Amino acid sequence: MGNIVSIHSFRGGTGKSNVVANLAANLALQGFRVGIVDTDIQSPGIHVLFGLDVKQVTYTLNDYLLGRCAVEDAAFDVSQSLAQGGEKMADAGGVIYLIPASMKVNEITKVLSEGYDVGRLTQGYEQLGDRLRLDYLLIDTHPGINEETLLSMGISNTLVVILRPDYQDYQGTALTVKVAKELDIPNIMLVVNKVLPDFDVADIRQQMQTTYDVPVAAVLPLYDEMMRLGSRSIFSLQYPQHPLTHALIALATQLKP
Amino acid sequence: MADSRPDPSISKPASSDVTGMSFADILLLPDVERQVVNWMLRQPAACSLAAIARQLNQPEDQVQEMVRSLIQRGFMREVSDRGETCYQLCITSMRSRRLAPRVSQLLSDD
Repeated sequence: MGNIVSIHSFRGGTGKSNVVANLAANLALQGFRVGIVDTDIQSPGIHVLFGLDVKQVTYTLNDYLLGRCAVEDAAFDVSQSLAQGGEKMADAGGVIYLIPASMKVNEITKVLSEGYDVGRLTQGYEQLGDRLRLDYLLIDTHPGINEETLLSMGISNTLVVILRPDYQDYQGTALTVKVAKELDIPNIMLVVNKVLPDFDVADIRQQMQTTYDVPVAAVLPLYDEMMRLGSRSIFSLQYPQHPLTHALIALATQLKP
Repeated sequence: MADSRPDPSISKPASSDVTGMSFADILLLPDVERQVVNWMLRQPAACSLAAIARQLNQPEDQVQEMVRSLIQRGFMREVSDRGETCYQLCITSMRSRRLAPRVSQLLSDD
């Protein structure tokens, strides 16, 4: 099994799924085999960035957790259909498999109300890594501290905590980092996202590193282009020469073991 | 005026049908136990007493006490791996949150 990376934020709206999708794209463009698991069962969304209509797919993570299929049955190669970058990924030997969560209300409530075998989820991560020969497994988590996010953190080699320059995020991140350290996660890093252009990036980096005593892997400015894109597609593929894309590529580099 | 009576559509959460420890339990463990559990979580297979002792840099008899305590609390179990006694974590296997039938029905009408 390759590198298991959990991407987490204490609060919603930090840009987590966008960061996950962009990380996956940049890693795949470098020739890596990447899996993404959308464990945000209550509010799935990353499939939108890849243009995957989950109402049309046969199996989702929900089906796997409910014992209806093997985990690889719920894995979709979303890189081959990407309008920009798909061919480049394939030429480099890279691929992105997405294991989406269901967008059907009854499927969501079934998993939430019946629960699932935690061991099955962790076993699924391992099987994905082995059966799909993954270099990276990125886990897109639900915001906040809950059993699922603790589980993802507990088995991850790397935890990326995303926050905005916002006092609610600051407090929540302190709690998340504390929990992460107690779970002995080998690599913990922060990404400060949606930073206004007139903020001093170096100053933010320094402050965050001092406050949380973990490295800041990236400070990502807020750009109009990202807001206008509105998760319709993956920013790095749409704007390959953009400063934000360069920052995301640099972030991806820091995930290498 | 707002009705202050309890909403019958919201039932009290049912007690979970759990065995073993949850990840929340891990955070409540004493430091040394938590260290062992965190390490064992990332091991591909069951762990021998010797391996656990090496990880903690402690004598095996001390570690045996701790392992026994974790087993007694249902957090760990003894398994046999090719004739050798090893230990595996017991992570909570099933967790359920019951919704009131009416709410479940409303949400399930898709």
